[in-house]
Amino acid sequence: MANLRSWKYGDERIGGKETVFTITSLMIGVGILTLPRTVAKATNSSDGWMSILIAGGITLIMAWLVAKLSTRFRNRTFLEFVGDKAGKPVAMAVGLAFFLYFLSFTSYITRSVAELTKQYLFERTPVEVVSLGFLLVVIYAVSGSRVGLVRLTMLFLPFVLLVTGVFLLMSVNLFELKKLMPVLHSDWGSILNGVQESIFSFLGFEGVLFYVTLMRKPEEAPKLTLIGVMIAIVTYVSIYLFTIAVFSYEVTENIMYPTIELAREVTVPGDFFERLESLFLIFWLVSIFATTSIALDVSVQSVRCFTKLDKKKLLYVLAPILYLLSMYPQNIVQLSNLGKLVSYMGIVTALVIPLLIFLIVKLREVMARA
Amino acid sequence: MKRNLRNKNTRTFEDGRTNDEFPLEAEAQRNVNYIHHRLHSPGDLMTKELELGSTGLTCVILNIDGMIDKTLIHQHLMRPIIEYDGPALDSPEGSAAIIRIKDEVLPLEEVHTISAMHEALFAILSGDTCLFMEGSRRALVVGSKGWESRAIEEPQTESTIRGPKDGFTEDIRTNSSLIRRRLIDPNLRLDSYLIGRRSKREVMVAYIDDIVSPELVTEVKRRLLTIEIDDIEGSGYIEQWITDSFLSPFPQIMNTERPDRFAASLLQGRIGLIVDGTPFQLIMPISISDAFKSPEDYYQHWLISSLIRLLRYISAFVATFLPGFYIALAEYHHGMIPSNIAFSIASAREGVPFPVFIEALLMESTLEILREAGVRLPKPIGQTIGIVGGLVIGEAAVSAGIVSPVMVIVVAVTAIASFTLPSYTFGIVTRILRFFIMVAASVFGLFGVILAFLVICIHLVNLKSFGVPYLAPISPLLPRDWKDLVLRAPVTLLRKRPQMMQTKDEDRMYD
Repeated sequence: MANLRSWKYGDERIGGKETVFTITSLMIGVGILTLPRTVAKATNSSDGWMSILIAGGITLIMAWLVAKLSTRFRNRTFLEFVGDKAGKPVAMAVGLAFFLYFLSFTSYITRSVAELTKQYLFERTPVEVVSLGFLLVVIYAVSGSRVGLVRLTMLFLPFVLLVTGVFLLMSVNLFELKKLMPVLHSDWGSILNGVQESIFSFLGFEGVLFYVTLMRKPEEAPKLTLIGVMIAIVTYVSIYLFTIAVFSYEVTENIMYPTIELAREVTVPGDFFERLESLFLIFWLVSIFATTSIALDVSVQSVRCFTKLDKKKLLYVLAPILYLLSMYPQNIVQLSNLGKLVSYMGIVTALVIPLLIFLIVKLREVMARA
Repeated sequence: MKRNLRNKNTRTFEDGRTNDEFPLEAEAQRNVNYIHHRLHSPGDLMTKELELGSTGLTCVILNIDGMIDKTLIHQHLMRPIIEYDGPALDSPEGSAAIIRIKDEVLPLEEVHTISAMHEALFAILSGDTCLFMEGSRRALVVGSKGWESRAIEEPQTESTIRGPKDGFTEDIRTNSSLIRRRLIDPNLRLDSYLIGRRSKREVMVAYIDDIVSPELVTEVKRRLLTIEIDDIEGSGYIEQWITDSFLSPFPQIMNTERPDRFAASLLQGRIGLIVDGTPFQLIMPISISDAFKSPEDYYQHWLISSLIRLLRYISAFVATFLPGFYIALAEYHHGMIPSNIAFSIASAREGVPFPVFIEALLMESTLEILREAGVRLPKPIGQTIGIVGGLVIGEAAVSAGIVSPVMVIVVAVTAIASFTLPSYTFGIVTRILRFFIMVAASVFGLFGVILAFLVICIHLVNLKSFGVPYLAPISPLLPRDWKDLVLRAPVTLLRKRPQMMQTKDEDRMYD
């Protein structure tokens, strides 16, 4: 019986379900709120779901590769592993890349949250104050234990996904199948455009590299990562389908946050609550918060190969940088440019670096055998 | 076991206090004189000189009036000694004589010999009787504790409708017997410790040996033995000393007056502490789900219990979040309230001079003052306070236009909801958090409420009670324990003990 226990007394490790939701949480951030617009714009048809599926497929392969890589760590952290296999300078470069990406990712989300709340919750409160409040709570979360952070995700994400499911179900009466038609009439070019857009929303799964060391059974990482990615794919595709079927793609292209607007269309029988989109946004804020905290945690973990500062002191140093970075964009356009930049950095950390490391590891194995 | 620990716990005092750790003298009178001198001959220190039958051997009995069972001393200690008609005890020196008295003369079971002064002092001060014999370097301690104590009454703070009506008292023996009567199991352990630097109080660590996780027992005992304090006045001192985080508003150790809850917790693989001198005994480890459980849940039909538990979860949520939520909606997000309700709120707030937050703060503070006053006052007057405070002030405040009627409703519902929690300590937590959330809501509206909620959640995921995550079984997710979380599954389906306790024996029933 002993090996069936999912939790041991005083244990500071994470189990399967926690890993799955950590990965999903890292992927689903603010992207989900704008995804239907960006994909609809890129494909310019209702076939965007194919783009999401293809992007999801690519992500599955990459995530599997990343997770497979992580099973070789054997109680080392990711950066220690890279250091052992490819030398200290490479490990430092990789650490820097991850640090920069996840740090700017965190600031980007922080600012986006501020803009979102400005649009949907209150108009008068300045973004600076809202971001500061959000950031402080994120830092509080990261300054706790890492397992605590994972458990926090475990607490929030299933609930948020459930609520999203309920919202989607409630909008079933607005669902018009004919808006999804005609199927399969877009050309490959526009589909690929959509793939490029939607793959940005899938980035973040590489964070698993930093959580494998916490897992009770690291050998299960590939399987769990795949499940986590699949949850994200299902969520994205269903939200996309519902948005298009409710608004049609022409309208979706011009809505800033289509996913939230979808919630606006939903009415509760009896009209007791109004403006459900604020409520929906609040649920998503909780999930976005989890994403942000994990991202910041990854960034803190990756900078630790440079400095011996403990986590709390490091956070004190990083906090002002984060805040200033998130305040840098002057308007929505600049913010979305920052988002683009962050996404391209994400491509490097999620796709390029893992592939290179994988190749190096393989190459060394081959050379060792020869 | 107990005596070993007693010796270990006795310390020498470097701070100028007399060290009583020296062997007894052979001359009985000198020992008696020392004790008299040491205790400054208090009025309740009783000394009685006796002669052992007609042997001419002098015995001196020492004890403290009011702490002893007089009948026992007269009938079974003094009488057998005076009426002794056996042979003269041949070797008055040494211990042979006193051991013969212990074994052959006294018809008592709780008698043991001691040979050091501090043991004699401790015995006398804790209500036992000391017998010194001329020429012996040993003395006898007769267990004669017997003092006035409160009868077993119904617990005041945790009343139930269906369930046993007996509650713990201040007497540790009564309390341990209440547990022993419920758990007739040879594996029940009640390990005694004497805790305290000056005044030594008995604390019993209660657990069931083949259920509880052994690491847990070690950890509890380890923490217990770190206590270095003059006196543990009640279980609250122990609770605060051994708790995981004293910064947290959430209790990580449960206190209870109910023996049934205590016994049931032991069967779930928890550890209990029975502390002398208080009716509140401690249970650990706990998780937040225990805040919503009452022993009564298991006595009633599962459907009733599950629904009532659901109600408790909702009311805890209401008690914590409702005022903050109201402030957020009324100050920032009028749009989210359905228009007709929004109109009635707005018209009710017509003429109220304060912003919603100040209004709420005023009303909540008044309520807390009333509540505190009601607790302090004698019961009949307490009710008057309730009526004057609740009805008169509330009504007057509304008609004077200081607060709006909606606010009165919000505050009243909040107050009533916070009373539904079976544990008083958790009820207080909702009161503390409520103010925190109100402040957050007044600054950031709903966003603030969510931030406050997140801060609470972050705190909770990092909190532990004796190594058990405080949010278990929700996070980490332990599906088996969900049968007894909000839902209280039918008794026949609760086959396993809680997984979060990591018990040695997992099955509650045979297949």
